[in-house]
Amino acid sequence: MDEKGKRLLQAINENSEYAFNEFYRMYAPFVLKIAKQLVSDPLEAEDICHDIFLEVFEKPGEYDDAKGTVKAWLAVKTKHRSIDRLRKKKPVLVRKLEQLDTKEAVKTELEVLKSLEKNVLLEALAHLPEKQREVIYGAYFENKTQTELARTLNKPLGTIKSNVRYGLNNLRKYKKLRQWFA
Amino acid sequence: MTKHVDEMKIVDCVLNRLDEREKRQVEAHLKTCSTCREKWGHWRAVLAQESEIEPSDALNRRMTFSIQRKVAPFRHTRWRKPLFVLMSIAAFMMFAIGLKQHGDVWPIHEPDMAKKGYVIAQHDAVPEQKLLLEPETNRKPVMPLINENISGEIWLNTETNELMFLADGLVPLERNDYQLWIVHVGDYWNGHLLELRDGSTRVYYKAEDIRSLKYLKVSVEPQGGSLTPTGPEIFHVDLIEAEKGR
Repeated sequence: MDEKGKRLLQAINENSEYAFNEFYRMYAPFVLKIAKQLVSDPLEAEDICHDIFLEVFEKPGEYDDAKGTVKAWLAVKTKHRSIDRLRKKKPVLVRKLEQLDTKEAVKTELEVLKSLEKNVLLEALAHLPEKQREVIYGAYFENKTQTELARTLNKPLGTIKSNVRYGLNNLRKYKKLRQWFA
Repeated sequence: MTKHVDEMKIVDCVLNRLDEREKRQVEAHLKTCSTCREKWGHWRAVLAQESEIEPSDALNRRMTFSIQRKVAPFRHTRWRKPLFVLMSIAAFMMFAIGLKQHGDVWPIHEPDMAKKGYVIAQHDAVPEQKLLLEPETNRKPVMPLINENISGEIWLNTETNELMFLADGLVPLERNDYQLWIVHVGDYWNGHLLELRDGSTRVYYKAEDIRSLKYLKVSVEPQGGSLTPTGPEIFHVDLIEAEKGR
């Protein structure tokens, strides 16, 4: 399939609408699958898909086969575009976070959550029920040791330890969350 | 600290699209780099879903519209009925002159062409198209004779004996049909009515010897089509020249 994809990209570069239509037919389901997984919203996913393929039509030469397959190129493009959408549209991010109701679900999304600016994530978290906020918050930090946290947040280890203890037991207000990420 | 693996390589690793050497390199790196390992885990989760999602009709239409606006921003807005009528009259007059010049030399229809073996299909009936993916396929844009808002392309492969004709921007006609004429050397020819879908047509043709194709043209004919071309030509493509131009 990838050789076909490359050849179609070459033809798109020579302004072939038909090659574009074929390319879209071949890869749109793949792009949609990733976008929907990342933004958890079918309409937003279609929007992202549309923008991705429009960009492909305008700049097919951006694909570099030395870096990977056409599918990998589209996948990474879709991820970036999806994160951008989550960053710019708070309701979309809130809806996505609402669907992360277990630690396992959060863990699979950590890569995306970490790509967002902290304040964007905090503002969205503030719209969630407290219990769910705790789940997301807990999973967000679970993989980091307290020493790593102290280094990352540039705070004394003792402060981090007490914050973790208090924070996970007593996360009630958005202000408290903000203090954690500060 | 070792340099991170490009994210595209990580995706390819998850998709199992790397060769053995690359795969070993990426896997060795993942053992020592938590950042790349996290990315790998993320992609594994995202791509784990088996089923892909078919785009909705609304998205397909939106995509087509966006692309057509990019290709010809004024294609839809500039079209005016009086202009079309004027151009049709002009084209018809040009055709009448052409017909007079051609006189009696119009090729004779050979009804047993089917026995020689050919396939013609339009739109959804077009078979899975390896044609345009073959390196030997020659693609040629074709210019309309009467209307700059129409565009077309021909994909021709003399190895597999296949041809694809595509055109966009054709305006549906109330009292006429568009008819495609495929003419071989020796003046064997076929005429087929074009099916329009949103102003587009897509025709696949496979013959025993595609090299014997001489030219292809589209003309406006009375509803239901004609036995021989009678109306103004929209396209006329010299396929011998197209093949020479490879």
